[in-house]
Amino acid sequence: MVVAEIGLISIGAGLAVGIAAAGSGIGQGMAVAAAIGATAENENMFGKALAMAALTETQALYGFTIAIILIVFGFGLVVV
Amino acid sequence: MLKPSRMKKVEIIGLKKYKEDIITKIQHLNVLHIKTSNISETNENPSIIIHKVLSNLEKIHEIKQLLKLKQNMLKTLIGTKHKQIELDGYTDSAFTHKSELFINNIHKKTKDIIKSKTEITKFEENIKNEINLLTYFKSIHTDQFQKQDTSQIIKGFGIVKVRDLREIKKHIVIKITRMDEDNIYIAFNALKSNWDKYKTKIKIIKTTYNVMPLVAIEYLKQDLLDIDNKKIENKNLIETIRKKEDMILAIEERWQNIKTRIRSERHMGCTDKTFIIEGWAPQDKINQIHKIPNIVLSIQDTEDTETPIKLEHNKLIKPFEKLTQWFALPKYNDIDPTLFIAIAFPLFFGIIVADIAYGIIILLLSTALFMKTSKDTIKDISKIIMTSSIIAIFFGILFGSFFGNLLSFKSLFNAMKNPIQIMIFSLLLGFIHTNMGLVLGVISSFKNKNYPRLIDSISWLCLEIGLIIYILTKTSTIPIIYTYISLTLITITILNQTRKGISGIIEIPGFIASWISYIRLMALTVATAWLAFVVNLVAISLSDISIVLASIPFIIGHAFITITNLISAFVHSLRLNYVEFFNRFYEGGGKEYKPLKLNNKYHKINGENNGCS
Repeated sequence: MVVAEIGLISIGAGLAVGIAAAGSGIGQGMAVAAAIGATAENENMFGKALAMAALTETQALYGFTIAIILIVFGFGLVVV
Repeated sequence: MLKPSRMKKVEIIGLKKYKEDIITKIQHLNVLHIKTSNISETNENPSIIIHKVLSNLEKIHEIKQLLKLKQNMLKTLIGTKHKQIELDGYTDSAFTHKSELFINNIHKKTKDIIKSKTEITKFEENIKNEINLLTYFKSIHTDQFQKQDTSQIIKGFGIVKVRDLREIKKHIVIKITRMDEDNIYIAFNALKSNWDKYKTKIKIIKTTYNVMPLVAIEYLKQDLLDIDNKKIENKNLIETIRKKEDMILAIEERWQNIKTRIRSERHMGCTDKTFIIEGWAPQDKINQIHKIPNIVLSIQDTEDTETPIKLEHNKLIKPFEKLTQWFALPKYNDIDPTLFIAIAFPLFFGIIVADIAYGIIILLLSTALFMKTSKDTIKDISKIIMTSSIIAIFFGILFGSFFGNLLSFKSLFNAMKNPIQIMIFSLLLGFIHTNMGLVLGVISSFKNKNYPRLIDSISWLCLEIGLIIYILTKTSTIPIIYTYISLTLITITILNQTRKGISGIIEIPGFIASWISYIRLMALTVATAWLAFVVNLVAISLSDISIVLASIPFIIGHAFITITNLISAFVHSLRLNYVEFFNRFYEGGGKEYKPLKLNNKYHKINGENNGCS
């Protein structure tokens, strides 16, 4: 039973990171392409473009955070 | 420090006969930012001189482009240090004459090199294509198909479409040397009487040499070697020009100074006998303008939003002005956020990297870049990273991290064993940072009488206070009256947001999400710690076999983590400041203060740029 729960938690953590990172990666690709275009047209856009390019990465980081929380609390409960 | 440098509005009126002298003196002073005048009547355009200046600068630009082509990425980043050339004895007219001779001579050489390079590239491409095509005909060893047309027979190599092959075969002697999906490569031998009928169906391959394909390939390879020699010749010519780069830059700088002076005249208002210059100068340097002779001067206070922005900070904070500039300069009456970003950026960077070893490596790399580079922007960024990496070392000690878990010592936090502790710390920092932004928003909106924004900022503070009190009422035994207070505060925010429609309602979870966004500090720290752990694990397991073998994944792995860490720490720290913090109070949109000045980075003339006599 415990083994099955550990497995499910691991799958959940993996999905949280994997799906979030995939979506984030696709989004970041689009954002960075547009950001490079904007910076090429106007160098003053560099700072804003850099920050905007990082915006889409947030979802991947949230996914990673959820995975950490799942592992920390999930494994903790299973062991208990 | 919390506002851009204070400026004074300046009006200078003078007689036209002293104009050039006065402008030259203003240029020497390097304090007056000139405004486009709106009282111009007969603004003269010194078109002949400007045409000459622009033509010379264009030539220099072409020369510089040629020199730049040979630079690699690292060199572009670092830049090249140049000597300051003394242009003594170069009076304006002598300078024009001498510099034009010098630049024309180099420009002619540049044009020749560019022309030669273009020809070489084209020639090389053609030869390579021909070699590729001839390799398809390598199997032809007899002169049966060799191109030496007689009065009766036409010979050669060509390409035919698959669909035409059968018909061509009936009337022309061919040998197939290669086939692909659409094309068939053939050597052919046709009677002239048949040729007219089929020539449209055979795409002839033109060859440079009328010899057997294998021999032709050898000849062409020889031609490629000749091209390489020509390339070396061109490279040597470029290097000869590069030796004169210091002088080229010095001349360019002087021409630029002349161009700036002439261009500035366009922004002046003129009457028949007088001219007027309007502009701004920093309050602390206004006395210098008083020293200009033959002018009538008017100095006024200014609160105008058009006033150019000069950021002024001490040496430690100055590099961070770059980060403010990247986003947008503040308006004249806005808060200058440089001080806040100078505190928050290294702090966030330090938490994300949070490793003693990575911090030291980044510190050494940025110090090396700072010492090597000649570019001001790169120098500023290096200083920012140097400061931030020191904070990273400090957090590395707090988090007990040296190349991840390589050395274990007692520490306050542990990213791997207790990430939740770091998450709470990150959220706490986020709470302080966003609220600092809100408070600044209240102050800024109040000062600028931007009441809708003021109400917004206050309502967000109400929401936060309301939520905190509500949570306290649920977790401790405080009087019931506080529940009503908290609900009232939350309702105020909801009502304020409802006023803006659906987008306003959506902003409420968005506001909380922007606070949660600081959780990335923990996520990136923990990710770094685990990546380092994996690299160490691989290296330690290999160390049983050989230390040398173990050092390979160790060095590559940790180098990779250092680089990714550096990039992500920089980008995410910047993002938290720009998106979560600036959004609360900062609009930007100020115009940069650019005084009329003499540049003297690459050249020096005795007596120039020494202020006004």
